[in-house]
Amino acid sequence: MLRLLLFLLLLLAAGTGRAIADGILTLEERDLDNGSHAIDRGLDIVDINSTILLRVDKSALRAELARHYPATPAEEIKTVRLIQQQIREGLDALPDMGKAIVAWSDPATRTEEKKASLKAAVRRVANAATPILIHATQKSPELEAEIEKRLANLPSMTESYAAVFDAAAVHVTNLASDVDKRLTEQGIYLQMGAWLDWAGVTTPIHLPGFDTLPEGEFNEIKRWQLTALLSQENKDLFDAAQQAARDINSRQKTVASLFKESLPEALVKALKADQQCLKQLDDPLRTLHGAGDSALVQLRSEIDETRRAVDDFIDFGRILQARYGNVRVASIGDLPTLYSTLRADVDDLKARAKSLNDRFRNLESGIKGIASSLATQVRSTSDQLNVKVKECAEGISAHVKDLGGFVNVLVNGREIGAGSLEYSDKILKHDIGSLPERTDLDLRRTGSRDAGAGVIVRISAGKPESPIQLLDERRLRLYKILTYVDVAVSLIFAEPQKKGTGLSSRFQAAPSYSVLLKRGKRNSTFWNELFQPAIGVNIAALDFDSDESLEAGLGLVFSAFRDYLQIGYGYNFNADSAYWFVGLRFPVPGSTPIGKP
Amino acid sequence: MILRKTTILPTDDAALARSMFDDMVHNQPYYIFVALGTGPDAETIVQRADNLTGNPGDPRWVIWARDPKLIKNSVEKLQNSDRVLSKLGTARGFSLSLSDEVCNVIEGTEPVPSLTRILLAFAEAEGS
Repeated sequence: MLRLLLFLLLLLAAGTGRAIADGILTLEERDLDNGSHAIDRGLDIVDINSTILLRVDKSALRAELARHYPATPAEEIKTVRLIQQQIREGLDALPDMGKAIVAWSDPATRTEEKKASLKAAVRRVANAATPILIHATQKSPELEAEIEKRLANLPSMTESYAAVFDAAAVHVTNLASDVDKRLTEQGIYLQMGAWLDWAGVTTPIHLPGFDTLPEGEFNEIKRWQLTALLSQENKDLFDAAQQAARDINSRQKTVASLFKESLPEALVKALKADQQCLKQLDDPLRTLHGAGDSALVQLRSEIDETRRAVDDFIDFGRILQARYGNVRVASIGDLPTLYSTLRADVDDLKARAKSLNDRFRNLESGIKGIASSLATQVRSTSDQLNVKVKECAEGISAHVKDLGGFVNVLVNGREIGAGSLEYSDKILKHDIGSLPERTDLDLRRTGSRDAGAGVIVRISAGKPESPIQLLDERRLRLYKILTYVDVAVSLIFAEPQKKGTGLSSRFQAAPSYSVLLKRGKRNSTFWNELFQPAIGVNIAALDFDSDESLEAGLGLVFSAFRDYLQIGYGYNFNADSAYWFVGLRFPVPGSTPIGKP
Repeated sequence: MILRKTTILPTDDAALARSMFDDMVHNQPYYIFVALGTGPDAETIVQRADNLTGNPGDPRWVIWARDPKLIKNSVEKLQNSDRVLSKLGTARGFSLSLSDEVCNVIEGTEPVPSLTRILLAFAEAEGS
């Protein structure tokens, strides 16, 4: 009996005691601080350096196969799934029942509370065992015989249930093995793949046991990167912040001018570029339309339609330019309205871009169809047109995608792209018997990535001469969740507390470094993507006496919204003056290229 | 026949049988299997049920009512008694929850219950 309990403990240790989750793929995160976190569906945020333990629930997998392939032994699959689920629930509850019985066994210390605990604990185990016992007594003499063997030795109450789960585990293993054999005989194979989605590109990543892809380059995103203070990039930013501070202090620039390059500005720029490209289509389209070539005559209506679509797109671009061309810092006060209008417009732009692309494709295939019968000169024009059309279409698609993506980030958080998730020939085809039940995905082995990247895991099934079927998919968003240090070059506006500093205005702009301590959250995209509150130290290059020689200031700073809002209190050691300050990360919003993380 | 956690009700004193039954059911905190009747089959059932009662501290117990009609009045007062009341003379046994509810009845038409079948009766009482 001791061996039986040991076996059950081993099962628990192996993880089969976890509560069953919906779906085939269950994920668990192990972070660099040795924390372990179940990744529930809908809460899919993990630390960027964690290892993901992927488990394949074969019982759920068989059930899903039965749904997709009607010839599978559905009844047996259902039984296997039911019994496995009951075993898991029973094993989960068994330790508590054991403890509750021990607590109850001494009559001298019995209380109503203990009775209630006992009832609850026993109920969970009994309810898990009942369907197994019903199956054994009504449908499976083999299982009943297995249970009888184990009950013959005067078991304790806990052992009697353990015996049921143990016998059921043996029984269900045999049953599952029979089912698997039949699935394999039908030629059903399974493939599991993973992809990293970062910077608009999806790259297949290695899953041990599931593919022959090479292991990715080891890249641990540093958590304590104080050396970033000295990076050339930050030095350059610091110089730019210093220049901006000088311009503001000497009143050559206003604070508002920092926001010149805003998201609407980027939209206008993109539209202008697209319009310029589209305008270049006009000449070749006119030439082709006017050509007397008999083969082209039948394409005239197609050419007309294309010209109209191009003109419409340009006109729509002009409307948007008029709408957003003058949006400046004044709009920042009404961001929600601005972004909702912007989102609607970008959606409209997407639809128009798609329709324009369809038109281009029609024209391209029309020209291809008559290419051989065209005169040389006309053919050269049509070739030029094709090249230009392709260029414009690619430009428009890229701009629309970037704009759409950026608006989505602002409204919903980053989207994980899944455009090109195809199983390459390096993804192994397993039968259900040989399919590994678990694997580890070390995110540090997924190469170049940063906060906001996505990982997609898919498991699919196929059969000779029938299309591959997606059975389950999990998507993860990678952020810096564990505590980390971020260095931000910031432009601060300091108000000296000491009177008579010689400043001509209340605030002095100054470049600074903020060394910030941050931590992400596993349940909030908003927190990780936008809010990012932090506390840290601010080191500023001040000049309270306006003598062009820099004074060092050191302060405590609180930061939020990607460090675009900072507030703090510091001390200027050279001027011997404390100061309050507000600050913002440099460069300011909008000057980051749109669509780039 | 060695019984560890079984109360055998008398057949010659109806009042005592009822009193013992009521005390076990209402005052003692046990999930109970009530075995009914006499003869080799009943003895087998009692022995098997007793084997499943576990350690002394485990909250399972067996009552053997060799003359079921003696406890009819008491059974009548139990929750869901209609499940067994009309079959007291023929059923092989039934289980009772901690809240004194009739949970699972082993019918007279069933074969002599195995350990598994009796455990099912206990499980239904313990899961209610």
